[in-house]
Amino acid sequence: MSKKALVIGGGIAGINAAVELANNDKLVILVEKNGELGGNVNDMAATFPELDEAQPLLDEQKSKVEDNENIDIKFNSEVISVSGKAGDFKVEINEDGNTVAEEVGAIIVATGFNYMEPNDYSEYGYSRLDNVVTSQEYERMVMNGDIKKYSNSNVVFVHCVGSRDRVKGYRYCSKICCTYSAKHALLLKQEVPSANAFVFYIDIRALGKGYEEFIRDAIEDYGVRYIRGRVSKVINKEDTLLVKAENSLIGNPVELNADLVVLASAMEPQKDSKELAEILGIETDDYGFYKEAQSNMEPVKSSKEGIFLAGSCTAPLEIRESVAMGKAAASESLSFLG
Amino acid sequence: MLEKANDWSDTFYDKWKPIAMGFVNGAEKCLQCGKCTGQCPAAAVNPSYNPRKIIYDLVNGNIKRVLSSVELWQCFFCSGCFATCPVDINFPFFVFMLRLGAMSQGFGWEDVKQLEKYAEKDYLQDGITVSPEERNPYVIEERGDIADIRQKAGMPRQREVSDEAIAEINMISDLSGMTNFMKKIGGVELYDCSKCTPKIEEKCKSKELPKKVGNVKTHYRFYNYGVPIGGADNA
Amino acid sequence: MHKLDKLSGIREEIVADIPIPEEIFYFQSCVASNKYPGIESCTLDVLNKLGVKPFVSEDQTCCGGFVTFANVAAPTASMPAVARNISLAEEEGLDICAVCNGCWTFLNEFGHFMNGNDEVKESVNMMLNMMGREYKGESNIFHIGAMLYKLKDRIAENVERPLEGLKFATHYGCHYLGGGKYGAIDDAQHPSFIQELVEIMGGENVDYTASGECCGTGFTQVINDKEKSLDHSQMKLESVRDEADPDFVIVLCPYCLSQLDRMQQQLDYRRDVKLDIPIIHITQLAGLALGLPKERLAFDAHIGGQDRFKKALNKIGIDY
Repeated sequence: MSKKALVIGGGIAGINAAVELANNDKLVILVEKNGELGGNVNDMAATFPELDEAQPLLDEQKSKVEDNENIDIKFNSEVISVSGKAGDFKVEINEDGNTVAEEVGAIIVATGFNYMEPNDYSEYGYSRLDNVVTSQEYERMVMNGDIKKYSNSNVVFVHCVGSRDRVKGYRYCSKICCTYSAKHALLLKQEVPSANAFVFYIDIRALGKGYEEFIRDAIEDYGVRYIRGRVSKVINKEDTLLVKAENSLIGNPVELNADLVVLASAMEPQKDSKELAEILGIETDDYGFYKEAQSNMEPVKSSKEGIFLAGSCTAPLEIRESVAMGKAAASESLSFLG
Repeated sequence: MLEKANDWSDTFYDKWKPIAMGFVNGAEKCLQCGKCTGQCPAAAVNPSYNPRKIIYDLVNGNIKRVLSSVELWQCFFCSGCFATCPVDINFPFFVFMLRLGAMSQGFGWEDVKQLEKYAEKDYLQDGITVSPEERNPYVIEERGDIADIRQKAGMPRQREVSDEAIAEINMISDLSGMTNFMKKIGGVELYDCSKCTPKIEEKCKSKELPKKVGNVKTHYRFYNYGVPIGGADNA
Repeated sequence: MHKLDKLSGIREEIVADIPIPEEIFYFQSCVASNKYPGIESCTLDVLNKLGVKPFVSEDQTCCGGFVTFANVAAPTASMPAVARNISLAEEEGLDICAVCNGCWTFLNEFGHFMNGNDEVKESVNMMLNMMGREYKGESNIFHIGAMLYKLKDRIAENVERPLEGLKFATHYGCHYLGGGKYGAIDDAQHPSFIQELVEIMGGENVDYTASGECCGTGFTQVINDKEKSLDHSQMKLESVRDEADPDFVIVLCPYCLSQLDRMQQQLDYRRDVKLDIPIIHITQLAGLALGLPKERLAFDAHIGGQDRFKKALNKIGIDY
């Protein structure tokens, strides 16, 4: 008899894992803590390196799950206990306040990431000054048309807010901010050609197919200005913002008036990732990302047999890689589902 | 201008760290992000001052440039870089220690010379470093004698520092090599033993004093005050 | 424009750790004693009024920070001098209250350092033992700004002269919030505790762009490279004059006070820059609100902003 599979998290990785299993005639329980599927991609205006609108793509993915008879979606739910072993897990799920017991053969963890709220970055004035927003808030501004009001304005994009920072953030690199900041600048130039986009970076890490060309296009075709230097301070100056940084390729401090400052806030593990790891009995790294059984050869296996990992709960990842991991995790879990 | 990598020191920073007693660890953590320079008041008014570059030169081993640079003496000591540094490098302490290093190579003595009188005339004689006219000699003609204002406020005309306290800081200065060092900078009259209090005198006699600071044994050591390599012209 | 009410950077856990003692070792500052005696008299009176008895020792010397960071003395020389000063408070069993950012950081930083390095502490004590003293590392060092913030309820109860109708700008100085970022009570980049005190005293806060900038002293730059130092002070003071136009600028540090105050006259002489900005220390602010007489406030010693002093003080009923 074939066993059910449990997928935790209904973001882009979880969706793909569930669909892949359902296509193999397995029954899937998809546990989503919110009232809708899609996770962080819900807040996304467009994808990179091709500027496709993100929401239609996501809707297509969602419908594959919602229309599938093999997938039982539990909204507003979370896993509260797990016992047993690979091939024979007993799990308890809190679904909308009711506890449901299930038996599953394998578990796929796809809980995703969280955008760090840069409240500690008082030097950037986040949540102290108006017109200082995070990249997530900026994506929403693009979607609802708020960026249109920044015609003839200076918009500054700040890299590495919370990433590569031992003191106020995390030591790791969030990997995708370089490319999505270029995307943000491009979207600005497309929607509001009269606006000036300035991107302050430390190193440009365009580690994906077509990313380098994407960023070069932003510089060459759209006139986005790239300045090497981490922004030191954003201060209030009458009705605008004053951005202070070093142009470190020239070696001089620079000041610049800005009307909007967009902080590329770090991707951090979900706040409760360590608690879930304890429930599941799997290992995390120091930050709270889930540890793979072997980082190179077993990227989707967790430290415990029968529990698999997919997407940004393992490290900051782009959509493409999360999708691939979801599918890989699904195929690896098949052997435990009879 | 062409730099040759074999002029760089591989060992200076490693050797220097223990000498600087843990005040200045962590330069190798620097990301070269430039957050320090962006907010730096000294970089804003000096054309070539750049804290990021100084750290880079130190870690990379271009010690000659760091120690002989004018820029080393332009830091404002405001700690703004430390407050904002993502890897917690306490740059002002680096500057402080590097200046001592520069002086041991004969650089920067002119700068220190101007400051020596604060130690000699004020700190070691009165126990108070900053005198009323410091920074603006017009103060007296403009506002009158500060002693009068103190008196009007119901305080003694001058803040009293006991003779014993002054004797003690002079003793510390002698023992730690500071007095000798000041002699090298600009010449200083040693503390007058005739001002010594009986209490101090007794202690002074009952304990044998170390001959110089080098005899105080600890394997952590700051810079050893030595004759500057630049020779007497610099000292 | 500011959303300060939304997010304050004040570190409540550090504030909670500050005791309210009956007596405290008042660490006298050179600049306060020799240039701005008002700071000294106000500190004594304000602490007394708030129920904390200041203890003054004639054996206390300068913290030694200036000669150290002027590179005249190496840490080997200043470490024992710091230890000696702290040991005076330890002998009385008191914590230390410093009125100067420099004294605070210097005592705090070197004190911590000695506490963490037994070997250094030992060699320092070898020297101190010759004078019959010992450094134990038991006294805490608090900044007067933090003490006043801790005592804000008592200040609110004791306001005798509400500062209504007066505008206040702030300059926190570098070495308390920035240099001592792990021990200070407020955030280095968006501090707000002085503003809170000003509100308690009935004053109005005004802001300016360069509020977070250094005063321009640059420690030794004011002596060795005066033009650069003046450049920076000019930028700062012009921002104050043009954007905030306050009745008073509150500073935490006498050394900043000295720079911002005395450079006004030098900027006038050298560069024909007209400024009329009264700069006062936080204890003088408290002294104003707690109703100290004008002799104890001793604004006579301030050079800059005398016309404005007169106007502002007349507003709250002081015949100056």
